[in-house]
Amino acid sequence: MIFQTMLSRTPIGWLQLRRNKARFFVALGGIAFADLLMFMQLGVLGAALDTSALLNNLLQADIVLISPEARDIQNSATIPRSRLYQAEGQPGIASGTAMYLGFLDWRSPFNAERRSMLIVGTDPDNPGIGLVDVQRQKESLKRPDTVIFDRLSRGNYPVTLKQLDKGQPVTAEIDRRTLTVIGTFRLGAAFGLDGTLIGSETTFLHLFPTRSPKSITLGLLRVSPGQDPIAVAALLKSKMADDVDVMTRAEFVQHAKTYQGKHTPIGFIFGLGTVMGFIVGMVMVYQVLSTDVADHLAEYATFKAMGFTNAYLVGIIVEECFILATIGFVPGLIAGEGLMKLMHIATALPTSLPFSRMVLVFLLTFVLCMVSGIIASRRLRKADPAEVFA
Amino acid sequence: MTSIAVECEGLSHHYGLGRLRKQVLFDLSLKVGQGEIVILTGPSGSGKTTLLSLCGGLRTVQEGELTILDYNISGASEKELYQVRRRMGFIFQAHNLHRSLSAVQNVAMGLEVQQLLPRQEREQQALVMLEHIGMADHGHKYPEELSGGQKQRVAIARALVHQPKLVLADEPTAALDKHTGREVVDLMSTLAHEHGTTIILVTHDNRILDVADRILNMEDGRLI
Repeated sequence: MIFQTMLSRTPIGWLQLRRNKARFFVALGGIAFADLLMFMQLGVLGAALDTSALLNNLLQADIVLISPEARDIQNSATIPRSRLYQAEGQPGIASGTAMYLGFLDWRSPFNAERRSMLIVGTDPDNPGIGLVDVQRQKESLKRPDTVIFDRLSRGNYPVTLKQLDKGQPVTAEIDRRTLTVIGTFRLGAAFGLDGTLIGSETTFLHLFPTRSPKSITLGLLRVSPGQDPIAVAALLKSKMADDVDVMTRAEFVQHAKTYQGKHTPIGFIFGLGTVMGFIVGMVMVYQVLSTDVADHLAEYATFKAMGFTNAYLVGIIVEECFILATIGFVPGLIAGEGLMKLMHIATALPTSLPFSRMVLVFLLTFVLCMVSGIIASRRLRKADPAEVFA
Repeated sequence: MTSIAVECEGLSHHYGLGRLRKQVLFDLSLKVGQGEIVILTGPSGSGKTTLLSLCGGLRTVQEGELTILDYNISGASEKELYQVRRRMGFIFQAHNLHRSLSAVQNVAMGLEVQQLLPRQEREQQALVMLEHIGMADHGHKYPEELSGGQKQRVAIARALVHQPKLVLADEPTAALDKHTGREVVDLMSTLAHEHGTTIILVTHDNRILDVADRILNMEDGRLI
């Protein structure tokens, strides 16, 4: 019944918006701008969260041993190598390997740019990273002071990449040491991380003379076929001393994202940015809708005199909200996607726009319009049918 | 249904509160028969607009009895007043047509409030109504594209399209010149006679008094 009346009613909201084009476009512009802001803020936040777990995602491990002091890959303390051996002997564990992580500034081989690089030291025969490029170049990586270079690193490396793609090694200087770059792989830049180099454990220990081979950053474990990693991890947790945290790979990925989202300023800043976008949109839509209500107050009073109820008039505003939210979202989405592409070019951060985020922003747009509409519709009470006989 | 459209007994009304409280209607009693055209005249401030808005269910009755189309609206709730208003037609001094709706859509609003017909049929009937009053060519124009007389004709069509038993009009010719004012009033009386509609019309305009079956004069809140 109500649905039938909804369908059957004159679309006054649409007719009103269509009739006043200037106001319509101001409202659409406001919504598009708010959506753009929200897409940007959520996009940067999403990139921060995704990149915080780039390496975590690629680890070939069912269970990860990590220091309880470690916050994320970029701030990871070390654990004794003996813990890895201990874990390898536990039931349900098939194999394990160690990974060393550290940061060094390198000077880009062909220009003077300094970039902060993550150095990954690993056993080339059992690297614990799911990258075919590592597998392919493992024999070369066994040579000391030899690394492969992340071609998605932030910065300008056209000459380096060209030479590497031709199969010619490039020499680079790091901390007064000469490194030979023999090839590339693909990982991606992150916040506070310009790029990544992968080499053998020996190479890593050369680069970090103060680090001991007995102190590893991550212990990567594979469970025996048919074993449930969650159960094995739980068992392992009970056996290991508390100088080591035991996580499944999923937990390890989530651990990095949670740290990035909750314990760095990034989550707060971009979360707040999203809220600001929401508020900007709400204020603009409210301005437009309340002007629209004020403008039509005499007509609404006439409708009330004719016997239309307040609910009918609220329906007009709700209809306007529906239309504004739906149409305003489209240019907001297009502009948002464009800006994300621009951001990718400028920062090398991955800027994908997942469907779930589109849905989220659309719902936020909808809520924003409805809240504005509900506030604006309080003005309808001023439409007094007794005033129309003036 | 009895042959009485409007009946009031001992109707009084006040505006304001406390020391500012001012009585505008004093113990009015009045009967208007079905199909009658009554003109209510008097100086401004005499209370005729207040009486009209009470009859239209636009204000709540404070004192006395008021029966509109066999329905006693003294003490009626807001919701009941909405129901009563849907059975009447209103014509205002300012036309108050909706600017974003075409003439046909405006007239169709008079039917929409009845919640009886789907949109297409409402607009069809509205067009028939406009044809009937010689406005067929203007159906798709917006109010701002119409002259004052044409707008008032559309407003009359909107008030009468659902064939109400009672029409209330407040200074319908105030904004019009002599010639169009005459046309508009003639249109109202023709339509009223076709369907036996009762009209209560408030006016200052002496040139249109001849359409009335009865002229009521008000002064200082009393009928004289």
